[in-house]
Amino acid sequence: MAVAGGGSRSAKQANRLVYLLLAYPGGMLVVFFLVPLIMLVVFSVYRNIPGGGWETAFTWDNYVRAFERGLYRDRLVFTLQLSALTALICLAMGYPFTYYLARRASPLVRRIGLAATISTLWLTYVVRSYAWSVLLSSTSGIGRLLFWLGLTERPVGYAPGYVATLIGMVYAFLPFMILSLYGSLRAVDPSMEEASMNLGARPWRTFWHVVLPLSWPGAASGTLLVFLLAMGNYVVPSILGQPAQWTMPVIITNQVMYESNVPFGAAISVVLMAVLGLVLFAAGKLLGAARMNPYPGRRDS
Amino acid sequence: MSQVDLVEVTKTFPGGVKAVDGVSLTVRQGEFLTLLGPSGCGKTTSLRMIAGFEQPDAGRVLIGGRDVTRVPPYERDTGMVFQSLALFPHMSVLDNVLYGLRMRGVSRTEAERRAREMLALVQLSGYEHRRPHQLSGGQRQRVAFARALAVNPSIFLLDEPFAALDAKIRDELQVELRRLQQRVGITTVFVTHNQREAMTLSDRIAVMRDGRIEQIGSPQEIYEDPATVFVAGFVGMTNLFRGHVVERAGRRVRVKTEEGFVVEAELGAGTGNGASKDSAAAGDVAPGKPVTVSVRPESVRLEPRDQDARGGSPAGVDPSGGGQGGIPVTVDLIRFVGELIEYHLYTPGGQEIIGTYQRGQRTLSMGQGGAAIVRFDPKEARVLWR
Ligand SMILES: Nc1ncnc2c1ncn2[C@@H]1O[C@H](COP(=O)(O)OP(=O)(O)O)[C@@H](O)[C@H]1O
Ligand SMILES: [Mg+2]
Repeated sequence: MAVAGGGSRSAKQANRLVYLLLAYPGGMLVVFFLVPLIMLVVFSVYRNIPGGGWETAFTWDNYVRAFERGLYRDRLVFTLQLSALTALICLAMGYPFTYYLARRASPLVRRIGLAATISTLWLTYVVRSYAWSVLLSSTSGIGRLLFWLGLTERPVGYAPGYVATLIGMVYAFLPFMILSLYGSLRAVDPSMEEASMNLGARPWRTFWHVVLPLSWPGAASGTLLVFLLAMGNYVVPSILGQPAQWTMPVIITNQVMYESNVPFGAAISVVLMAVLGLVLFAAGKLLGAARMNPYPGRRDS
Repeated sequence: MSQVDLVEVTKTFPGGVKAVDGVSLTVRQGEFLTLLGPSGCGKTTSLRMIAGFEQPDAGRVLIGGRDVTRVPPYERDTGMVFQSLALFPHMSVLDNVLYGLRMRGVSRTEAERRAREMLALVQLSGYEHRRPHQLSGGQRQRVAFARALAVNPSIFLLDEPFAALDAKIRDELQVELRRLQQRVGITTVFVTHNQREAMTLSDRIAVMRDGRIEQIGSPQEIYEDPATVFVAGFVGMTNLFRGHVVERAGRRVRVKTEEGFVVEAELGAGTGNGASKDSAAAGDVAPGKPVTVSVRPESVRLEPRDQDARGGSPAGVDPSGGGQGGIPVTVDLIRFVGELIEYHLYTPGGQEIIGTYQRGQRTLSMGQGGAAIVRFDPKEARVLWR
């Protein structure tokens, strides 16, 4: 009896311990994720009082405004386009570089390359964006260099503007692409390439048929990651862009910080999140299908 | 189906490791040759130089008489099975086997016919559309065989393909590999550190050590006529007695062991073949020279011995030499190993000797702790350089 009772008590204690352990991540999730999300949704149906503050209400007005005004729809489309372009440029620039770093470079070069990549993340976006705005202005840096080289007729300033915004975005997020690709390119066993060559495939065909498909998960997740980071960034477009380059996060910040219209800011945030959710869902479907069948059009599997 | 020649091939890796050191070797047409040796002796590097994945610093590689030393791997026409197998995980079994054929520009229908034929040959019909990770270890192995052989290469190369498999499947696949190799009749170079595997599979074995070849010969030659102490110890179990030559008459040599017992042994054919700098050139074996005598456990014969007072000279043995007195021992342990009975014996000086008998071949009256005398037929004992 005593033994059995003791056993069940210690079992109960173990149970309590498990609950305690689960409470930690659970609590984190609630405090940092669920509560802010609910607040966001709740605020988005409140009514704004022009000139300051808001009042509790249940109104769709904020959403109606977000969809009726062409301005916000255009900004959303622009943000999606800019982010997608950023992600694709990062992929196009990052892949060859990372391929070299991960599969061809000596260990020393590899270490230097990785260190350089990571070190660009030590400075905040703010500092790096201002640095680019100087480099890309008409009075100094790259514009002058191009002029001096005789490539342009006069010093051209790119910042603020679309080109500067894009460059700033690519520069800010390229390291994430490289790090994401690096893992999956390192993971491709060199004997895969050797097996391919042993079977008669030249280096290019080996790359195309073996290395590229096997590194595809890293490329896909890197592209998605950069896309999401770009969608959420407000520092780069607000420093390097003109109003025409402002993305949704800039618009939201303006609404909340400068217009003091918290309910409307919340509403467009909810819309942005919904769109991102859809994009993620579609991407997940696509990637899932790709993993099942990395050779589209082949009849196997 | 071609011959492979390595001519004075040397490979030093950056960092100074001399992985292969002046290896010359001819693999005959249709032959199954095994590179055998301990880990790190340069087997894989040698194989990779035949496949074209490593460039020798010196020497030449010939396939079918053609110098391919500077020919890239995709133009060498070898079929390789990698230690990790290196099956393409993103392709089906069929696509894996098709790969080489497609890379050589064989039409889709013809390639598929050939690939299915190969899969049938390795008994994997019906598995065409599986992915490698959906197969068992043994099945994956067979896909690797089929993929390497589908392109009808002139040379078949295998790097420890069975190392990761358990004993039963390994045995089955060894039989299957040998059957496959003989059916296709392809020149094969097989790499392993497992001497039993080498013995059961090979036409000839090249025993390697520290980047050099110690001896090349048939499994029987290697076993019965090891050229060096290293080969004797690496291929099969053996008992080694260090000593000095007392007397020599033709091939027959009388040796006084370090413990002072006199034994007789013969120079083997392998001893004088000069395959290695370490092998004894027959002419050099003369009285006073330091040598080692190698006796296989199955050549050890045990006779009962009366146990005298401790410390005294064992009965019937003349420790000062001069005759075939044998070596007095005590029985330390008797083990039954499958069909063999294994005796672990100790000499007065503490050297362990192992002797084996076929079960039922003979029963010995002595048990553990008993006294015995070890004798052997000089014809079955080999004199080797130290
Ligand atoms: N790529 C390499 N770089 C440096 N050293 C190597 C390389 N490959 C093999 N070696 C060295 O060369 C020697 C022989 O290696 P290997 O041919 O793989 O031996 P085995 O296959 O017989 O085990 C080892 O000492 C190994 O450490
Ligand atoms: Mg090896």
